[in-house]
Amino acid sequence: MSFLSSPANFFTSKLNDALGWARKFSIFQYPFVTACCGMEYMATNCAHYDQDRFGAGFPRFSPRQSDVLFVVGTISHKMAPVLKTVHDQMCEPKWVVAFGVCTCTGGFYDNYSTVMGIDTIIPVDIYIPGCPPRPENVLDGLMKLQDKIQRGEQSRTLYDPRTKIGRPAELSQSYTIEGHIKHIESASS
Amino acid sequence: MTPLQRIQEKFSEQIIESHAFRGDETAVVRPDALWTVSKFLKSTPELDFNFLMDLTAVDYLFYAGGRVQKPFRFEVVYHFYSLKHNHRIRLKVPVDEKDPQVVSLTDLWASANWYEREVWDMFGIKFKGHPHLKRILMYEEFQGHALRKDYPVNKRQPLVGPVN
Amino acid sequence: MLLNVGPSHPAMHGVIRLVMELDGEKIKDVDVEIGYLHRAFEKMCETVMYTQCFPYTDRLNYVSPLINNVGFALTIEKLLGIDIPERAKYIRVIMSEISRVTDHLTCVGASAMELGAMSVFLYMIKAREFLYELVEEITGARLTISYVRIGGVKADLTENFVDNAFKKIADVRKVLIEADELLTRNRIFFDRMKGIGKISAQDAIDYGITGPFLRSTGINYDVRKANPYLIYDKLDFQVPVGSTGDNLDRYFVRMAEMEQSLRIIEQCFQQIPEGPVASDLTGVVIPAA
Repeated sequence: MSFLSSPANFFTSKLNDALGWARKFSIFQYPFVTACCGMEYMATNCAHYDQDRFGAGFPRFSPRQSDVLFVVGTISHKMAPVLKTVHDQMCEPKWVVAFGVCTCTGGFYDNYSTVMGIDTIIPVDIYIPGCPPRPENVLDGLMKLQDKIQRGEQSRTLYDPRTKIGRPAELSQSYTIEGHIKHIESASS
Repeated sequence: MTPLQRIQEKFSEQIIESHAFRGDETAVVRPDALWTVSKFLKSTPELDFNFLMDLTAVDYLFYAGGRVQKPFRFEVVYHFYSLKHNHRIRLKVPVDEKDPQVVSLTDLWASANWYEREVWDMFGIKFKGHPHLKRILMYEEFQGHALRKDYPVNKRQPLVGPVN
Repeated sequence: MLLNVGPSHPAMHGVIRLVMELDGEKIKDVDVEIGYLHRAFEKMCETVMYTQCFPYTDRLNYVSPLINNVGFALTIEKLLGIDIPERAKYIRVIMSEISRVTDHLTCVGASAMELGAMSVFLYMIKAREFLYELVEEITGARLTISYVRIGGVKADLTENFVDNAFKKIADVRKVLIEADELLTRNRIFFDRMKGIGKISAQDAIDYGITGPFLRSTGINYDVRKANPYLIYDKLDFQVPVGSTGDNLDRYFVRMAEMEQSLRIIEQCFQQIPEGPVASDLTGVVIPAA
């Protein structure tokens, strides 16, 4: 039998389970709040629909100290480089929750200034739709995130809207000055 | 006398047109007379318009589906309010497409500063004498002026990430 | 020293970028950069029918969405010359004042939280939840409701609404008293708010500021009293006015305004007539050109 051939596997899998259990009940979130969903985020954080009973009640306002990035509210193109910087500053392992439909797919803002879904910029683990999502929705998403953390999975693909399939997340080439000037020129042509 | 009648009697040749629709008085003023009329509105004690409530612009490119052609493309709209006398007036200034420039009112009302930056960002109308005219709502690398009628609503110029 | 409070900052309420030049804790100069939440509402409203603009107006000031809806509806009704039924006016005023109370609760609660008074924040959000339950009973949604229509409102009040509302208003009043006890005579709160963020009345007028900010500087201007719209001329309420224009006065003005809004809601319940909630708009067209 397989585990007899390497008995260490039993211990490492139990260790992984224990790590997952510890991580999922102590979520340090970075609430990247921009817009209306922030009100429902506040409501989920406070007395009626408590987030603290899930272990997620302590927002850390620094990306170096947090492991889950809650992107709450519409992300505009002016804000997108900031979001990417904050995501890159977080240490592994990290997870991203797209809170609200503006971050999942762009919502009903199909215009020149809104990013149609943050999964085109950063890899997303959990999508919580709703405009704004009810706090019960958010807690359901949080529980699904906890399942994912327990299994130790992280999302590593970005969504490419042209081909509609995932592409591997790499540092976007428009992130350097020359790169983004080229990017703007090719976009406006 | 209402404010509209007062400025009509003083600046009768600079006012192109005026009307009062549903209780709102409006006067269309020539661009070169804007500063004098605004100063008159602010400094006369009987008028005393100390609030610049709003400053925005309108683009008449496809007005009424193209059936009506106006002689100018843009119109900058100013809303004034007087706290003491509780009356309002609206001024409109027609601006041409080829040389979109208007005098800035930042030295009379400080709130005009950001409003004029927004009009520059969204319509491309320059304001002479503005201390720091740069984009306020969009980022500096954005090309074009977003609220003009010929800018398509979903033309994106992303800084990061794919175009569409 | 130069400090950049970047667009994503630890206050959970929106995005603004402040590049500040500090001398110890005093701010010498600041450069403000906005536009990180520009969602192009005006451009989007150009692409839809004018009756479809209400969801966009909800999200303008998302803490008090009903007031934005009412503002937009009043503009359209003024332009088209439509009259709305009395009952619709009263319902609009009731919902607007509920929205105003949620707005001030969020504002005061959040500012208390920034100073470290987390329990006040929790109490105020609890009070806000009571009001959200009220709003949800009629409109169906908690935050972005799109309840107002041109010509009236979407639907009538439910049967138990008045009793529920009186109970919830009593609960909100209790929370306001608790918060008042915790904050108003608190030495720390007082020292941190008094004399901070002062703005003179002349500066406020120059910059075109209206609302509780202007009233805290000493100018008695409330558009509900100066140019009464809907049925505000039939209601009896006071307008709180501050004196110095610092943070503490703004806090007092907001707390007093919440109490006045609750008074307005109770008066509306006593005065509200029966009748239709939306006027019949068949045959009303926008005139061409």
